[in-house]
Amino acid sequence: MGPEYFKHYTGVKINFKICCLIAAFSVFMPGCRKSPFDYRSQYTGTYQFLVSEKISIPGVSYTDTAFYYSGSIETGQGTKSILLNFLENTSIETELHEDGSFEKCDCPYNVYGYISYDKNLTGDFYSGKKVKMLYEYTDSTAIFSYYILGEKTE
Amino acid sequence: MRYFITFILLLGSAVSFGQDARREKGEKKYRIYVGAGLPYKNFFGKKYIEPTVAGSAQDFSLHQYERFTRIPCWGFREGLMFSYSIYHNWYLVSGILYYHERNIYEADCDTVIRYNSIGYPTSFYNILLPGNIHNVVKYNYVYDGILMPLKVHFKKAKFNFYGGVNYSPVTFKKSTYTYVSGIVSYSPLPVYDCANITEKTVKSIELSAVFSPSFMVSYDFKIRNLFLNPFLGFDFGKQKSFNLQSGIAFPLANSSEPACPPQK
Repeated sequence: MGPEYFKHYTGVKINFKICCLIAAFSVFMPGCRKSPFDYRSQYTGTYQFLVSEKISIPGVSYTDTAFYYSGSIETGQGTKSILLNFLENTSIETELHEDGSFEKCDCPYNVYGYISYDKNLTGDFYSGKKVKMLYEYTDSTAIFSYYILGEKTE
Repeated sequence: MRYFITFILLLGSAVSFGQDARREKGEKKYRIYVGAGLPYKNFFGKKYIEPTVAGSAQDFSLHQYERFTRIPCWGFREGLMFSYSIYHNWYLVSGILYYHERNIYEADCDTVIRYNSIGYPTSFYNILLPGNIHNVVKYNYVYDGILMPLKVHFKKAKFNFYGGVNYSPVTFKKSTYTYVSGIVSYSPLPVYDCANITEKTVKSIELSAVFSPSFMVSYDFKIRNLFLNPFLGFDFGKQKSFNLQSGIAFPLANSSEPACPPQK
């Protein structure tokens, strides 16, 4: 296979300069990426939440109840955020990470020390249709703790 | 193993179909190749990603891979390429390729616990949040997708030079996250168990517009009636990555052969 190999090529009449320009443009064209699919969409919808509620007034009383709540998970205002409506009068917006986990808290970022917090939400989607969450907060009277399992209904 | 089998099948089809195609096709201004290559992904500069500023839960995605080390990986590509003559020794090349590649980020457990992790704190210990991305010690992304090259090909003697872009319209992504979990005790010194790990896999399809500059050199080679084009390629990728690729392309339908003389 030498130069004769292609000797029967005669080419077609295409403007050579235009071809070079197109090629040069394509070579130096900056890489770009856009995701037409929003990764949050697989998690958003209406949910049935099973809520285990624990209310503790230290040294005084302790109540432990469970109930269902029909709520929803919607896309938030940020490009990566979701809005969780999982309790009456409770709506929390937080960043949804690529692995389906999320948190909204005064969490200690480095754990070599104890950092207290007043409000804390953590959770993760363990399938496109199921989510588990832990939500805690304190006020001047009690400590409220909720363990929540949610399943997408539509 | 499946790639090896596919490669062998492609090799077989290239040999048999290629010869028939050359016989049947007369003078055409194109060549069709089937090819396979092994890209090796590496990185410019350091593989370790230095931390910038202290991260927070609010801007996590900006600092997600800090203190992680990128791991070079092998991949695989195969598919059909079309080369069309535009002017003397200049050709336009396009095609459709299947590609398989990986992106791996790894950090040691101590670093993750010391700098990244979050948990559920008590006075004496911290329970690491299970399945939370802050507690990831290894990201393993596997991509399977379609690659459509658009290149200009210049032929000089037996050497072929290609330059252009690779376009990837659709990618199937499988992400596996390895988390450290368990309890970190504080007193008197921090104690934790790095053998305590869990995994989670998330699959997704990405439709995107990714163009990456790509260059390649190949050599026209012939063994008896079999035409071969061993090649070396270089692609630029995201996050200061590049692919070094070597492989073989086989001309299938080839217009360079003289047409059969008319039958009398």
